[in-house]
Amino acid sequence: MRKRALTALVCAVALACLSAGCGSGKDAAADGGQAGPSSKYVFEFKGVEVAVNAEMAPLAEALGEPSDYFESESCAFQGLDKVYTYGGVTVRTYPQDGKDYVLSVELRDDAFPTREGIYIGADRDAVLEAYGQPADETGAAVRYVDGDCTLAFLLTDGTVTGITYTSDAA
Amino acid sequence: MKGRRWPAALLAAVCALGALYLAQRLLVPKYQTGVVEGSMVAEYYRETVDHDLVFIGDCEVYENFSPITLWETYGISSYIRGSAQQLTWQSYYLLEDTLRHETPRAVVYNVQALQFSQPQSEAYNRMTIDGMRWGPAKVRCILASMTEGEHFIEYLFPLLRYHDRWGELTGDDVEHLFSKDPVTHAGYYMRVDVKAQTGFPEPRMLADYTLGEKPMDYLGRMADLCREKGVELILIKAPIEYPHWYDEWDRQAAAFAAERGLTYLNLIPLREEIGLDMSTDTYDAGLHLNTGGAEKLAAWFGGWLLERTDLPDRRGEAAYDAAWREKTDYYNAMKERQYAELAQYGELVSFGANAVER
Amino acid sequence: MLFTSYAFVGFLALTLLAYYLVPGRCQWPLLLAASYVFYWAASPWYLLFILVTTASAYGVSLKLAALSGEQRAYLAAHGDLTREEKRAFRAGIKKRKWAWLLGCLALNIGILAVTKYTNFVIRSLNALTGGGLRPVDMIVPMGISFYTFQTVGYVIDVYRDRQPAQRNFFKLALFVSFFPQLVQGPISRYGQLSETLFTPHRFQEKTFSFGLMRVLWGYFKKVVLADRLLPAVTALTGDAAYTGAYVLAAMLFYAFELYCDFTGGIDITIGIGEAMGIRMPENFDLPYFSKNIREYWNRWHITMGTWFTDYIFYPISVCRPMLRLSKWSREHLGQAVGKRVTVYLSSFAVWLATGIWHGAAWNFVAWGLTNWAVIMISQELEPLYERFHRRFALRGKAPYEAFQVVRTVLLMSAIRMFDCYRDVPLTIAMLGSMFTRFDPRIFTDGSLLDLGLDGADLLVLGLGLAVALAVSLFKRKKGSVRQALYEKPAAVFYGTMAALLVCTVVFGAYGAGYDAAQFIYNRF
Repeated sequence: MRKRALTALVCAVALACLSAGCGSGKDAAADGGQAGPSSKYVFEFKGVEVAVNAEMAPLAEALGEPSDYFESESCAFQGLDKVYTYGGVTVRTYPQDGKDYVLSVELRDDAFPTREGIYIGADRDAVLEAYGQPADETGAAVRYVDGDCTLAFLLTDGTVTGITYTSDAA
Repeated sequence: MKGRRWPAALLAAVCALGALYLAQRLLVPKYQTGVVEGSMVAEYYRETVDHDLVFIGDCEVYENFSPITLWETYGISSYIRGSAQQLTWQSYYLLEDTLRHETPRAVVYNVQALQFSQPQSEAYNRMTIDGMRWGPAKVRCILASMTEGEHFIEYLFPLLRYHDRWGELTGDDVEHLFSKDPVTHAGYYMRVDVKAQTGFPEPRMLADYTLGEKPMDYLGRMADLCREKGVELILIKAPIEYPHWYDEWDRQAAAFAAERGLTYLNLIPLREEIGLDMSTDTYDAGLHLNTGGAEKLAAWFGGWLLERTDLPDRRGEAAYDAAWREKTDYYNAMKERQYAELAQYGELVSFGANAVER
Repeated sequence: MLFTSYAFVGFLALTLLAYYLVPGRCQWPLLLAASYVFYWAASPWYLLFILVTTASAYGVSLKLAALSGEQRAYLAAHGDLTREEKRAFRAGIKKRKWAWLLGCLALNIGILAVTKYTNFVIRSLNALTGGGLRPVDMIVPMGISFYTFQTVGYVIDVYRDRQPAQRNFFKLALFVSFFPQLVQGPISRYGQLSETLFTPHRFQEKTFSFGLMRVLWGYFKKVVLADRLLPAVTALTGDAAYTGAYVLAAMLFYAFELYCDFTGGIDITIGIGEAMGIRMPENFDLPYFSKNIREYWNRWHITMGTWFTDYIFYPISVCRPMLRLSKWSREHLGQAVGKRVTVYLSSFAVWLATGIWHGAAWNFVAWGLTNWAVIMISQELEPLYERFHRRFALRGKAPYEAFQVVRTVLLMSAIRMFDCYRDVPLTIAMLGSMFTRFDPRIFTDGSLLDLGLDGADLLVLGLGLAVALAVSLFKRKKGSVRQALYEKPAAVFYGTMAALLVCTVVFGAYGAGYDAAQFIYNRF
């Protein structure tokens, strides 16, 4: 009886030694420092999800010709900063490892609501109702943070005058 | 250890250190062609004469002011201690480093970098810091600047950072194993080509326009250090509109200057008075001035400075004349070379992006 | 502090320096302090766990030793007892010892189970019931499996009277926490390690330089070879589009990466010990020269294998229900089946445990059980092999041995893909694609250069692996490479060390641009 219980216990020791396994090193490495969306705050327009830290090339193709496009070489040739304007939506990118990733999405007019239904012109209370308690609030902005994205509602006299999704990872 | 074995161990250790030293010399980027910004900070230590005026800042100083013009027009001996994306605390430590070597009459700091509260990238850190001479200022600069994943020891032994460049070595790495050519003109980065400014996108909307605590703290330290050393600190904002310099930032810079009794000059509204024409005076569509623009700005700024400060005219002093003659010759030679390339190829091929790509 | 971090290299240099500067009697306390600093650097909270394990092992082992002593003293003092009375007394003592052992095991297993098992149970329950239990954010102390195995082994050995209890708490604490082996083994036995762990060691050039050379060789294998292979392995196993010949490439890349990673880590560990005059058990014996899978498992992760054999296989084999089952089988199913039952079931338990030890997922269970199945099938086919060899007389011939070695490496690499794809059906499909979509052109048309390795990387890997192979071949035929070098002029020996250092620093895949890759076995 004792021997059996001892065996069972020792087996349990072995069984309890559970961990990530041979690939764990790979995972840790793969997760570190790579660009990629990781937030519930995602802007969607023209049927395309535009998340901060997402790769821009496929998004640019899906969104079609921008109404305005601007690019500037960063100092010492560390890559191009690009600005795509689609009417009232501005998408800025940052370069990393030869690709462009979304740095920020800015909504400038009331033609584009957030997924949660907030437009330019909405009031502060509507924002709080839709998004809940903010990460921080000043007289000029209400901010929400999730993953690598800060979603900010810029306020003037309690009315939303701008909405920005900004990468905290870039 | 047996007596007969330790000399071999010692010899092997010396050989290993020697090999590592050589590997470091070979593998550390030389910044001689294309991306020359990494050479700028170290070039200062080759200077043979003192400077009465020192510019500190990022590309808004090293690409927009021509010290050669200041010398030729006013006899002002000046130098630009700037590098790419030089952050405010890096500027502070470069100032500290500069004041260990000399005491200029005035220091001009460009406030553009006040918008950055965090280190921006490891590449920029290295370009600014690697060239600094070792001393307390460099140590503190590294500690203040490191991004996540950077290690102090990689600054101490740059081989640990650049060891993997063996796959991308170029002729520059061999040619400049032990010596480097100057790439600036008293810290100024020359570009004579022209690409007109056409317009910029709408400024980015910010949730908070307050300039960060860290850069403002270092700006304060700069003011304190200058006061302590009897150096006049002048704050400027270069006449460049992109990235956008917000009114809110401008007011904060002005308020700081007023509080500390400093002069703050925003040059953006003065472009017409300076004579800048952004259809011809910029080489990259308005982000930086070209040499024509930098000469105009230096000429105007030198005059403005002399109305407020007592910067001496060093022309006629033998040591200064000799040193600046050499600089001027090099400046003119490079200018001629760049114009020749423009005439031949329609663009610069040995400078800037094309040189990087090659 | 990963072994490959600058902090660890600095920590190691300081520890080695201090080790030989302090008086001999202070060396082991210094190592204890260093080990706790090492563990504290990972997380101060971890210290709590290791202290609980140490204190429980210390208290219980003393109690077990006291009970054994009590038994001996009583029986010596009462020589006139009948056999029945002696047996009854022994049984009483054993019962009390058992209770203490059970408590100690329950505590340590409990810690292990809660820290490492909880989320596996939650995930499994969710999968079975469709429930939505949230995984728990759990502290998993670094190296808990290794130090728990080592400590549990010690307590069981004391229980079995095979090992006297250590009466000095701090010495036991060092045995549990000795920093070089804390995170990835080898799993030492107290009797082996204590021989050199607590004794004073004077600086000896040969011992120290041998240790240092092994450390350098370990770093070379880890950062020059394993970490350089990592991006390709990640790319190949992270995308199911890499089928056919790519699966073969993944098998081979992962085989070399894992070998260099794990043996590199163990070389660093054992080398540190050697540099201090401390002997640790070997964990590898040229496993990729094995001619069959059974031999492979006798030569790979040896200390884990012997631990499982001693503390799982044998206890299960001789436990009363197993003996009863064996007897019943012989009587009802015949001798042939009866004699296999014990071996089959015991080894099944060992391989199930080994599989789960490698990861909390079903793919690891599949991996373990596939190993078991292959070993059992090989065993059953032995008579067939014998007939084959009698007929063809290939045994001992170099080409045939080479075939056996390559076959074993490929077989082990294929089974190991369960670890990599982490999905049993996917692994089977990917392995199957090698037979349906194999396009060998990928090895020559530059396709491998799209896996995150450029030509320069492949050159370094090729040369590095050639050096590693040459070292292994030398070791196989002539023994210790270090000894051979040591017998040459000192400049050759130290010149080799210098070259190893320079190559590792220059050609290592570390620093900016590389993700910090921890040793694969660190996570157990």
